[in-house]
This record gives sequence, structure tokens and C-alpha cells, in this order.
Amino acid sequence: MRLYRLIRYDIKNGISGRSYLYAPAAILCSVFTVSFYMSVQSMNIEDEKFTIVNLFLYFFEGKEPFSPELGNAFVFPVVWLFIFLYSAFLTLNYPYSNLTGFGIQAITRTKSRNLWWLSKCCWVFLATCLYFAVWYIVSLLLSVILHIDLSFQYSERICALLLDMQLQPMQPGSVWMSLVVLPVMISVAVNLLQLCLGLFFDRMYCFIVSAVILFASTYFQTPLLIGNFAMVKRSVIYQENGMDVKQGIIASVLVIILSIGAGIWRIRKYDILKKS
Amino acid sequence: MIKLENVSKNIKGKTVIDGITQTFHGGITYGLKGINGSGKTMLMRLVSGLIYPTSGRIEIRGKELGKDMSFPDDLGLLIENPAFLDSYTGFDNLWLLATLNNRAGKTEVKEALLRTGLDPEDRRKYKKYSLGMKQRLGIAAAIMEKPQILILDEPLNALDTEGVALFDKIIREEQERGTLIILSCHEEKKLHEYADVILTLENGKIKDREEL
Amino acid sequence: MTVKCIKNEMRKALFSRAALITYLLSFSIVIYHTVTKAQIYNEFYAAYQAGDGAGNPMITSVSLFFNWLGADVTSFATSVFFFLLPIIAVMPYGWSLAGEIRSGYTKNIISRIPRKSYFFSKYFAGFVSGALAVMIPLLLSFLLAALFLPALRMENIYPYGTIGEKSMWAALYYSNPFLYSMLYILLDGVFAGLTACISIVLAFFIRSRVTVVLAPFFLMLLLDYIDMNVLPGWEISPVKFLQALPVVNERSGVIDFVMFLIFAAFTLGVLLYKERKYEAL
Repeated sequence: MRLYRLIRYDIKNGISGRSYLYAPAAILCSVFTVSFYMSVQSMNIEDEKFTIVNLFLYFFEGKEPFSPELGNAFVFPVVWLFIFLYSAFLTLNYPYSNLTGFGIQAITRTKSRNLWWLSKCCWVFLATCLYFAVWYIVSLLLSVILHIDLSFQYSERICALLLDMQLQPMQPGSVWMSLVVLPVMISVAVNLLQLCLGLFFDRMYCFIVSAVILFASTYFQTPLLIGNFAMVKRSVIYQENGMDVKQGIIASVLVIILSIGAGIWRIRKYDILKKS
Repeated sequence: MIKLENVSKNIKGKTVIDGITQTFHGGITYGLKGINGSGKTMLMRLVSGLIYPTSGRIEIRGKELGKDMSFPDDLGLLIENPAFLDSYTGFDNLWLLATLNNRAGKTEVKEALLRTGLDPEDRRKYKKYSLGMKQRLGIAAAIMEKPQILILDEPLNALDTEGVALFDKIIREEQERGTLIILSCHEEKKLHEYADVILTLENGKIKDREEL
Repeated sequence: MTVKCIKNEMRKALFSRAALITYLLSFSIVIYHTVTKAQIYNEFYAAYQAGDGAGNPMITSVSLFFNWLGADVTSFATSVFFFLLPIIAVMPYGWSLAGEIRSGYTKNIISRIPRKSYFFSKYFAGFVSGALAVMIPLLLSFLLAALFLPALRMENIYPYGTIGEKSMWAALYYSNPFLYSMLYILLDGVFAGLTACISIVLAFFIRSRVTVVLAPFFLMLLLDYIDMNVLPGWEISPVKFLQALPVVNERSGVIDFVMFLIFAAFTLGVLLYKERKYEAL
């Protein structure tokens, strides 16, 4: 019951009270959607079904496996990084700014540091889900306005020409997993790791760690860098020896559990002092 | 009610509390006295569970703080500058806190605001409050749930004459209720007026204990 | 009075804990890069010796001028350094004005010295700290790489490390690569300094230290997006054009200059406006 009250307080304080932070996400999504739509239009590809799956593939394509051959400069996938880094930024400030200010009153009333921590973990999960929900809903709305087809099918030609992707045929289940479930889970995992690190280091350095993990994921193809699982171009639907969806779910769950566990251990001894 | 046994606290290599052994009994008002940096606020943070001792133990009603419980049950706290949410009114700020443990209803929240001289119907947001009003709101937050333990760090900061008079009344009422009160105040006259026992701190130790 | 103010602000900028941590971060990237490059060179040289000079070893592929942090556009270290450049530039001091406005410290200062002196000192110190935060690691990388790698002039007959003749300072790259590298370090420093100044002036509008530090970073990402999707071929993204070799397109001196003007105009413009209108509430 107390956890429920704390979560309710965090939703009111950390989400409703900071709803303005979701506006840039909506704006960015609109910009990316319209830009991609215009690129498709400029290709003059007739008789091709431009669908919302094509749009999501654009958002989450990431980067194909990179080899630093001579003359092959590394160009990072800015759209993918923007999506995940803004998610990390969104969940960065609230938990610890809350703890050293108004939050002292809240935490002493709930009388449990573990509950405070679990409540913040729930808040990170909810805030991340809401962020991606904003992203998906705005894309859906714009798709309706721009007459982009809302189906699980996608145009292979658009993928090949604009995204440089030749994909295996995808079942609706694969679409959901690769373009909805995994990106959200990976983002939740990264954000929870960032939250946990905030108990040890200053928030800015925690963001840098998140940024480096995500950036390194775009450079190196390895299951140790979990960002790989959220990139379509690193997955089995793009390449034979790509990242497996099941592995991705296990990896993100592992990171989530370890982050929550480490946080529970650390919060017990954490000094709640006024920080400058 | 609160027992400190040889409690020490180091922060970044500096000893801020040094081997304090002290029992705080219910129904008594303890005044903490000492120069800036003597350890008054740190002692209050230790007793309220915001920080834990580096060595020693703190027991509250037989339970150890940091092991058997994270925070004391039934605590009202005003530590350093009060901090509330800028975009909420005074009432909304307190109500948000009250809903966390459901120990105070809207009536109690309004009563706490009135006791500190604030208007429960005031629609001004917290960011528009003067320093004195912010302090009054901090006191209201500490007393609204009628706690058994009240910890007040420099409660008279920024209060005008009327505010101080209201605070005097609050202290008397809390004492009549049998609350354990630990407070610090730079005005020695006021400290003597409120406290039953005055503890003088120096370099993190209790240098002197005076029963009034 | 302004000179004294500048001295104070410079001391805060260069000797803070945040500056130390920033340098530690960037130096670790430099050391990681140098170690990997030295290893690659050792392997190359061993193979070159074992090969008895047969075939074309393309020896300039291990040249210092192609393999220091600023030019090694294929490596992770270079990519992550320039990706984090907006944060590296801002972290030592860019948040300072936001913190002082929030805490009310500005009241202590502007009641003693003219606003102009204070805000311009902040701007100057921000610029210098941002510039140094990027220039010092790049210079260090160059010097460390020079300990291990041969300083061979690049040749445009090979398919790597080439710059198109219309690219900015292309002739210099082939004739005097040392000067080219130093000029690029200077260019990077100037833009890093201006990036830190963006944070400084944003403090007039944003109180959150975290937001003030990260706003230039997201701005750079946005510029990169515009560069890739809206204005392809223009290379307006500082994350790309600050690297000493082309990443996607050839660099244009005109575009670099225009970007410099935009950054400078924005930051100075806001500063000049706000220093007259600022009220310490």
C-alpha cells in the first residue's frame, strides 16, 4: 500500500509535474516522421505501400555492423541515438533532485528506503514507457494524417532504397518484438542502470555512462552492449548471425534485476545529505 | 525513547559526530546549542535516519535505526531550509505529503497551516512565498501529523514577531501532547524558554548538559 | 575590476573538481586510443619487416597524421570523443552561471561589481575552459601518437586518409600536415569554447544544471540530424566537421565560418541583451 502511495506521488510529481519534458519528444518524432515521409515521397516510388512499419524501421534501424576498414569513417545513427539518449535524459534528474529537496519529507513519511528505491525504479519504468508511448502515438497520428498505411506489412523497396536494409520477412510477432517490446525494454534497462549509478556518482557522469554504452553499441556488435538488441540492423531479421530477440529480453531483464538489486544494497547505507 | 550509544559519523574523512552517548526521553524538549559546524544538524540527521552512524548504534523504542527500521515511526522533521514544490500552493504541498502515510486528513493539514499563521485557502504558489512563509510551511509540514518525535533545525529562521509568537504556542501545545522535541536555535534566550534540557555540542561531541 | 573578476572565474573554471574529472575522462579516451594505435603499428611493422619489403605496404596508413585522435575517423575513440565533445567542453564550467543564479550567489557579485564585468568574465572563462578541455586531450593525443608512429606525409594516391582538393585546407594537409593538425586542434578549441558559452548563456533561461550541460549536446545531435537528413552534402554538423578528416562529405571553410558566426552571434547576442536586463530575483 505504501509503495502504491509512493508511486502515485511519483507519478503526480515526476510525470504530471514534468509533462513539459515530453513535448520535445513529440516534436522530434514529428520532425523525424515528416522528414522520412518527404524522403519517401521524393523517391517517387509508385505502387509501393509505405507503412508505419517502414517508419518504425527508420526509427530503430540503428547501424549495420561496422568494420573500421581503411577509409571507412564511422557515422553514428543519429535518429536511434536521439531516441534512446533523450529517454535517458528524461529519467535523469527527478529521482535525486527529489531526494535532496521535497523528497526528504516524502521518504521520512514512508519510513522505508527500499520502498523509496522501488518506487523510483517503477517511476523510471513508467516514465520510459510513457516516453515511447508518446513516440508511437505521435507516429500513429501523423501516419493517419499523412495517409501512411497502418499495417504490419512494409515496403521492402523503401527499406532497400532508403534504409539500405534487406530484411527477412517479418511476422506481426517479430514486428512487435523488434520495434516495440525490445526498444522499450532496452531503454528501461539503460535508464535503470543510470538510476542505480546515481547512488554512487553524480547524475551527469551517469548520463555519460549511458551515452557511452549506447554509442559503443552502435560501434561494436556484441551482446555485452545491450543497445545492440534495440537495433534492427543488428538483429537476426537483418543478418544471419545477428542478435537474437530472446537474448535481448534476457539481457535487459538481467540488467534491470541487477540494477534494482544493487540499488537496494546501496540505498541502505546512502547518506541523504544536501548536495550542492 | 531515542538511545544513542557511542555514535560517531565520518563524512569524507572528517569526523562530524564523535562518540555521542545520549538518551532522549519522550515528553521532554531537548535544545541543541553550539557554534556553526559543531554537529547540531548532523546529530539531527542521524536521529531522523537521513544518515546512519559510521560506528555505534541508535535505538528508537528498542529498534535499531538502519537495521530494524530505516526511519523512526511518527516523525516530524524540519531540517535546514525547507524545500517544497514551486508550482503547488502551500496546502497542496502539504496534502501531497499527507497522502503518503494517511496520518493526517485535510482537516489536520488546514489546522497545521492555521497554527503557523498561513491561510489554507491561499492560492499563491510556493514560488511566490516569502522566506518567512516558506519557513512557516516547513513547520506546518513537521507538525501536521501530530508526530511523537519532532526534530526542528533552526525553526525561527526568517520568522517575524508574529511568527515567533505562533511558534511559541506550537511548542507549548506539542509539549502538552508529550512529544519528544529536539530543536536547535541560535537565540539562546529562546532556547532556554523552550527546552527542558540543553545539550551543548562542540566538535561533534556533547560538551555540556544542562537541565532547566 | 573586470580583470580581477576574470582571474577569479578562470581559477574556478580550471581548478574545479568537474574540470579534473572531465580531463580524466578525455585522457582515458586518449590513452585507450594511443595504446590501440601503438599495438596496430607494432603488428604492422613486424609484418612489414617479415615481408622483406615485398609488395606495396601502404606505409602511410600508419602515419601519425592519419592516426592521431583528431583524424582517426574510423576508430571508436575518435568517434566517441567527438560525439561527447559538447559534454566535454561544457562539463568543467559551463554549468557555473546556472548554479550561481540558482543559489543566489549572483546577488553577492552584482551588488559589488558591474553586471557587464561579471557576465563577460563568465563568458570568457567558459570559452577558455571549453576550448582547453578539448584542445589539451587532442594535443596530448598528437604528442603521444608521435612517440610511436612515423610522421609520414599523406599521399592522395592511396584510398585512405585522402582529402578532396576542394576540402578546407586540403593543400596544407598534404604539404604541411603538422600545421594542418595544429590548425584543426585550434578550430576544435574555438568551437568547443563556443559550445561551453552556449551553456553559459542558457543559464539565463534554464535553472537546471543538468539541462544546461546537456542542451548543447542535444543541439549538436539535432544539427547532425539536419546535416544527414535535411541538408546532406553540407557538413554542418560540428560533430563531423571538427574531425580532421572527412566523415561523410568534404569540409567547406565557408560553412565552418558561417557556423562559427552563428554560434558566436547567438551567444554574444544573448549575453549582451541579458547583461543589461538581468534581475537577481
